[in-house]
Amino acid sequence: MASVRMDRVTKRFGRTTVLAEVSLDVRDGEFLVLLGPSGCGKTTLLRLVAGLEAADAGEIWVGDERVTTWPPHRRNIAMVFQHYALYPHLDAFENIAFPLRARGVARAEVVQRVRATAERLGLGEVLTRKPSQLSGGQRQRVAIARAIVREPQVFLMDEPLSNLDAQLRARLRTELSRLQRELGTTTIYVTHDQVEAMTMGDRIAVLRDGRLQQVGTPADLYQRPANTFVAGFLGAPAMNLVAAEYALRAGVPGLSLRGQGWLPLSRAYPTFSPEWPLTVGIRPEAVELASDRQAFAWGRVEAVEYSGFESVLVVTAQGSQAVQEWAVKVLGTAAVEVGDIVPLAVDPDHVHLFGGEHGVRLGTLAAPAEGLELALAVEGAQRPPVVAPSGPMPMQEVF
Amino acid sequence: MQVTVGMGPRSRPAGESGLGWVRGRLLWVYAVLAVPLAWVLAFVAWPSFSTLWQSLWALDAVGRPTGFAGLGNFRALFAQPLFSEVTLNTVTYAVAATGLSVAAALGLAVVLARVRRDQVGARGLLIALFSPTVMPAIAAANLWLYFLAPRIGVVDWLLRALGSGGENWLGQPGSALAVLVALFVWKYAPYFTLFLLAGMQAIPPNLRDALRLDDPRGFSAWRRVLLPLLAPMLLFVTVLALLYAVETVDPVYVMTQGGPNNATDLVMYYLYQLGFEFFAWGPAAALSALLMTVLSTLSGLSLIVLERKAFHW
Repeated sequence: MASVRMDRVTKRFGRTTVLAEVSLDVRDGEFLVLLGPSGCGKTTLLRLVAGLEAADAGEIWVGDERVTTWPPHRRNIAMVFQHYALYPHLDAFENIAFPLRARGVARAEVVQRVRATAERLGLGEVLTRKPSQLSGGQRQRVAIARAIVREPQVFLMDEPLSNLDAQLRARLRTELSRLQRELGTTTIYVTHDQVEAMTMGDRIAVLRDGRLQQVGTPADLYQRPANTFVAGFLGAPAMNLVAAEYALRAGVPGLSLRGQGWLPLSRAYPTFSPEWPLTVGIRPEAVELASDRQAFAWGRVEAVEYSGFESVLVVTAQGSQAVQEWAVKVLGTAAVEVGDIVPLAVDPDHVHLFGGEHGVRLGTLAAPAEGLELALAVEGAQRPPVVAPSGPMPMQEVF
Repeated sequence: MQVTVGMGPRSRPAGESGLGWVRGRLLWVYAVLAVPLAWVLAFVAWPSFSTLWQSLWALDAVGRPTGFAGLGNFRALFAQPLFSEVTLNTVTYAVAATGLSVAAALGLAVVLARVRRDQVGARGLLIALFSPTVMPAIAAANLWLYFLAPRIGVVDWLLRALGSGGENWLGQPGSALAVLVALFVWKYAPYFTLFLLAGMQAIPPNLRDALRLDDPRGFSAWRRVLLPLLAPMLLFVTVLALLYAVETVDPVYVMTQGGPNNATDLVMYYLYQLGFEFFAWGPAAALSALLMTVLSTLSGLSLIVLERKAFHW
């Protein structure tokens, strides 16, 4: 077992930069999920760690060894592929045994280790079958067995469950998590499926266009997304992200949601320049339909997607400038029907505020995030976004 | 083949009488098939049949049947002193040519699989490699004749530069056959490379990735995975090479005329001799029948094995 460290890793294919100075530490024994949309570079990063591709710049460390230029087999890393990559002419036993035999492990030990691994993955009955005679789930289990049988320092998994049907995927998800905890082997797991990322990862690293967006625990990412991309990527349905303008209402600082409502803003924030783009983010489950809180807007229920425990509503709020669609999650027992006019309310603690071109997280409406000054300084590098509170108050039409 | 798909009753348009519709479709099918069918009948089936038929008849000097011979032609063929010599030559030649050309093709395929298409000189390399394959056999044989000529040929010139030379490669039994083998490898190995390269490229990239992670020396990868996966293609190429080798006649005709001392008299050339030099049409027909049976059985069997063993990714 070992930690994995990527230090300013850059990879280009021709003129396209696939990974731009990605630095990431994976702790010893950790289950780290690389999450991102397709084409974000997550698989390439995994292949760089495996040694299947060479980095154009940067260093990769496994434990105390700098492995950047090492060939794949020397790194003592095992990989599980999306399409299983089993050897089609060998039966399950020989597939699992292959890495041991290739390393010259003694016959008796091969048999013993393959059997033990197969038992662990529930493959005892199918060891004599060829891959073509196995179901998708069994194939992926054989591939996993082939990876763990040689007790590598690190597991790399490239979307191993995405070829399986939903039910099997859920089951293998649990099995894989359990297996990883039992073995305690450092694992880097690539997926574009946020449910997999949230349920399996000790930590999640979100990639977009070859750049690292945020690294943190699932709760970190969910509760404090570093920017609008992470906010919109995690959670289903996605967080409601609405453009907002800084606006005073009867002397109270707040945000006007482009004419569809107004939300008060903590006085701990500086006064924002009206040109500086702000985005408000509210998760569907944070929107309250029936509450004693004052509604920030009213909307019409356009659709009710009932799924048992909960329902997802699509609510449109007619503003002075545009129509805003809100996703709202309510309990399945809620009596809401299409056509109802409902009040939308929210706890300011649960409203995220993002600012600047890249939509960097500033905090919630109730309280600025720690390091707000830094975020503002970084975002405002080109254009000062903050107007000193002592200066003339920007007067805006409100609502 | 939209035509055969249309044969199904499901695609029959409503409102037409079923039987008439089927008949119309069938007519169309046969009309389309008529040309290739006639071709096969006239140039494959009929000659094959007539060869088999003639091999059982005594034939005069111009090939007219003079009476039923039974297996007489075969007995006469086997009794020819040259026959066993030719058989030995052909087997030696075919085994060496097949083995070496397939081995060379595999080596080339492994090398070419690493060459990226956009690499400098990749195109030139390919053209250079495949030019022998597209060259007519007669032209290639003549070219080699000049290469190998003592004193004036480029081979002798090179050898002289190394301190030996003065060798008449086509003048000695052993080296003459070796030259024919070399010519075969030179001409056909690149062609077989194409098949093996295609076979290698059909192996999913992830499988190769897995092997790179799993196998420290690359030895097991080849022995236990890559070669077995290539086996169907290797078998196909080997049978192809064997058929081509047995069919070799042009270089023999151009370069050695079967000599020296019958050392390069291969079966196809011998067949030509039997017919057009010795006018022994009966034994010639017998030899043709024999070759046809052996070679078609061989290729038939290989096709069956290929279909059973091939991996459909």
